[in-house]
Amino acid sequence: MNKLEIFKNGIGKENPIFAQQVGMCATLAITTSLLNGFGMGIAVIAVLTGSNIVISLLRKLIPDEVRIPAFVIIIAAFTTIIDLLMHAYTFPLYQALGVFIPLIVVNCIILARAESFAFKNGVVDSIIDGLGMGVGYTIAMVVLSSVREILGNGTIAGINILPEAYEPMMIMVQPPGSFIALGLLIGLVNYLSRRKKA
Amino acid sequence: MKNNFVRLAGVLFIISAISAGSLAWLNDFTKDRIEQNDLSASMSPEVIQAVAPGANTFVPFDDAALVESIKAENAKFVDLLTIVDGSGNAMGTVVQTLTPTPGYGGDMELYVGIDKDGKFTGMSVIAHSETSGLGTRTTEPDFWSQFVGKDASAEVASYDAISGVTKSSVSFVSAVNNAVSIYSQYLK
Repeated sequence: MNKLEIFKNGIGKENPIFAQQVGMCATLAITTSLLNGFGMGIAVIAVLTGSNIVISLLRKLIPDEVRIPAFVIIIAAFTTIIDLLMHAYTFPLYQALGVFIPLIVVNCIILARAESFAFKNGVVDSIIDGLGMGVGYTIAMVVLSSVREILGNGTIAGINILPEAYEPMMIMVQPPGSFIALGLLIGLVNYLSRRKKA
Repeated sequence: MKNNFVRLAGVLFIISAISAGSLAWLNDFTKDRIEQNDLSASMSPEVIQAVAPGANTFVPFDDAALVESIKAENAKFVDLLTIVDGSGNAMGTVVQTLTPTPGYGGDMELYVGIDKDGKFTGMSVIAHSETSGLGTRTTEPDFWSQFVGKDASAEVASYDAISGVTKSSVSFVSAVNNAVSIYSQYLK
């Protein structure tokens, strides 16, 4: 697989949300507004790329038997680093994302990429894979959170865009709305990708 | 076999030690900034204007012994602050309190401003773990402005909760009522 393909893989064919459907917990919970979705995406790109680099560097030193605990330690360390850095330098975003930053630790995308890619490939490829998967995740988060914010709140990134007469569909920013929106979006993505193939 | 165990444990130990070491360093590096962020967030001009319009700043309450005795009797009480205007005159009191009824993500922490006449001047949520976009709507003036100007010695019994955000609304009001009981018991 060449480098461009590795990158595109994460955005399209193996998109973490639309295709692999991993890491749903944070995805469903956090996508109530565009800013939250985007911020979470950026945090995931940072943790994913960082842990991919370290795991791929250490892949010959980590014995197979203990690779999962080793991954978890490395991922937890990176998540804590991002948590501290955001708390110190991007405070408003930190306040908005709150409890979801520590939860990146248990986001399956990161462990999945460590296990299925970084542990078997070189550093450069792992960085590209981390960025590709992260960008794919962020795109999906942005689309999902935009749909929910527009329909559920009548705004986009906090700016009113729909006429006063529009009565926001409260359910879209509540938990059931995230399942509805995600289901419809996955359906749409599947429909479009199948039509392209045919 | 025994050697293998030592090797596995050794690798994990080294990885953990390096992780812990770098986190300790980063924690030390960011500690001051984080503390400053948390402090300025609870003392930013926006917060002060929301809690007490026209005020200049909040200063620690004069009677430290009273604060200690309220703390001993009221588990959710955090602190008292005096509201000061531009020329240093006291305008009222801020009751800093947690929520006796937890919200969706645990306790919220509120500033409840009360003026000299015993009326609510405003309030602000300074720490919470409510759901972004839902529970966080209780932190906006659209919700809490309904309490402003009300008598701070009478318990809030009826109010408009935000639809779909009942738990956070109830939690918010429980903090307001805790401020009411502290005000009527100790400050009036």
